[in-house]
Amino acid sequence: MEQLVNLIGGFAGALTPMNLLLLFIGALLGTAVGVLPGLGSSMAVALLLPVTFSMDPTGALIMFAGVYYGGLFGDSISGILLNTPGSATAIAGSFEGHRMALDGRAAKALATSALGAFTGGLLATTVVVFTSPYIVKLASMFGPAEYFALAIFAFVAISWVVAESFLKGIASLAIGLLIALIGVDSVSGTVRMTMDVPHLFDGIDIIVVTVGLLALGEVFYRASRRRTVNGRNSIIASGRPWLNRKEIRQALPAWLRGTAMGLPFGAIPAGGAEVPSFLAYSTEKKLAERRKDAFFGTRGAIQGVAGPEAAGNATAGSAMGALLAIGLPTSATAAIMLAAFRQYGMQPGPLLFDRSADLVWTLFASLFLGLFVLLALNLPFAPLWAKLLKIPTHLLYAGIAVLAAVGVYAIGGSVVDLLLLLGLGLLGLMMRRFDLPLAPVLIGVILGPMAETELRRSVSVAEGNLLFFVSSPVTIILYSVLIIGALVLAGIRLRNRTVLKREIKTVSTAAAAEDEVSR
Amino acid sequence: MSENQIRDEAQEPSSAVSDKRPVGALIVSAVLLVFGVFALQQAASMKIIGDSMPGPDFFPYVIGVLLLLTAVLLSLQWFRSSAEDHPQESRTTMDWISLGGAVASFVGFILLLEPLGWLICASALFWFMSFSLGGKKHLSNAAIAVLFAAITQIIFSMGLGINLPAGILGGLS
Repeated sequence: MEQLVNLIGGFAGALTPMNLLLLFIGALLGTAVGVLPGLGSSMAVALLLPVTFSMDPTGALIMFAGVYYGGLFGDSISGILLNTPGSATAIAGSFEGHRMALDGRAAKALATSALGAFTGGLLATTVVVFTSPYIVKLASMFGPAEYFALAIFAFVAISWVVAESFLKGIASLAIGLLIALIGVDSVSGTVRMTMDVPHLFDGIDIIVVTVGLLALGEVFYRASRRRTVNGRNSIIASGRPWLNRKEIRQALPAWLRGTAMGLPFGAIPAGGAEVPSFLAYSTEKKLAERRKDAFFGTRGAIQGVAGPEAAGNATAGSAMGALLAIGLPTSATAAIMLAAFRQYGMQPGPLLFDRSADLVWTLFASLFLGLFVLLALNLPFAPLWAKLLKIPTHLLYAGIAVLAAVGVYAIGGSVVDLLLLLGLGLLGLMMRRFDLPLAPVLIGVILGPMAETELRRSVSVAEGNLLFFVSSPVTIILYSVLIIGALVLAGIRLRNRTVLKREIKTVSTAAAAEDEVSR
Repeated sequence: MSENQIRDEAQEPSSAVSDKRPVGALIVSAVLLVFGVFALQQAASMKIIGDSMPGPDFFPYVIGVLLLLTAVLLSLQWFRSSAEDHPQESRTTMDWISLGGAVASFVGFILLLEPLGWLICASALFWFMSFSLGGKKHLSNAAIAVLFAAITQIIFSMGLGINLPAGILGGLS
């Protein structure tokens, strides 16, 4: 029950007017960026990172908590109304959600999604709070070999899960690892890969990498297909958002099923919530077939929105636990948040709970508060959020370009950073166009130095004995989970891909038919 | 979105997807190849401090080889693929003019930022960027651009205490 006392202490820390204001602003910004088509929560966090420079760590991290969950809520709004989910996680929920919107039940779909995200996030955060001491105890037994195994695990998992092809994932990862090498080597002091540019001695700032790849890359990508690809007009949210008792009875089991599926996926570093949300979608689909639900796949069934949305946010919640307790980022957004921690000289992991216990528990408390703030912002006001979809694309992306520039210039007041930003933006354009995943680059940049340092440390401890790398239970478990997980995920992915292809086809035919009718 | 724009977009081709293998996808291999060669060349020419094993050049060698390996395997994959193996995004016709405009506005911004100052350059970046992305109402866009640049300047220099270059307007204030 020690956790409960700590958590109450955390609430005391979080419930100051200033922190609540920051949380509210974060939730507002996160939702806004998430709603805007094509922008996900990782972009929201990336653009916000420079702004939080001059804040105190607690306030900044509370704001991030708001942005993190806000982005997830927002991603689903654009997915349901426009069929343009802001992140891979929101794809599974937008199949049935968009069908409900086409059927004139957009507001109900949005409410189901918001409540699902709330349920998933709430349960996951609770589980994280009560299991974190045990995870920390486990993590405190980690030595160099274990950390190296963990990094390898994260590398392979993220390349495997996020990418269409494993090869492309590894290519992205290698680019990230290369970027991480630039600068002075922390072990020996050797200057590496700088081509004698003094500005590069400190390495390339992670903010430049994230803003370049995510924000400027997206601007260039939009420009490159402006006149060749048409956007679809938005659907105005209509109908009442409130669910009646029958609908709640339909949705509640789906929310719980989704949460149960999402939880374990965030705790193991398998990268993103794409897999669990698809798993939840397939489950709901099977159940709908069994009870002969005529709505599922035609007019849109409420369970088909509830399950995946709850799964997505449950994964996000437990991913936060993995980030704090082990220091392992499991998605692009988590990777950027890890960078934020490092900015304040903090290293997430077991030591964080010892050294900055106040901060950790305040952060947990603000995750809970953030969920309530978001529910209040999203349930009644979803139709208002949908109005953001009317901002013309050219103004939106011009604004993003200016924000990217100011954010990067603010780091060090250097034009060299802006040149790097331009280069990374072009790299981001190439990666988007040719389907290379972006998350492995960020994981590579952030965990690369750790992997290298721990490898060199292990080798000197082991004195040439290669078996040192598999000498402890933790390393053996990690490597075997990796192999088993790879096999299982390969199977799931194969099935999801066929589901995805079929669904995209039917949803777009339905949407095209709707367009015809409305003309 | 104004009535004008909706009509405008309706007249444009819905999408132009090529049914050939995207030759551009080989750029990925080329970029990986250049990165790999760079990593190996830098590793070989490194002035190493200390005599630890493995030294600071070990990881660069490993990553260089990894980059070369993925470059080769991805190009082999390309040569064995058919058009359908590539996602639609990579087969859509490139809008070089719009992209060129967007990149050029950013390059111009970088070159002129320190001489001209934040307010002028950020306004110009916003306006040229929105123009490249199909903005039609040039005057009102210009007003929004100046407003946006001014707001970012206020937030960053007054709110967060970060210095943005004042440029030629610096003497006036």
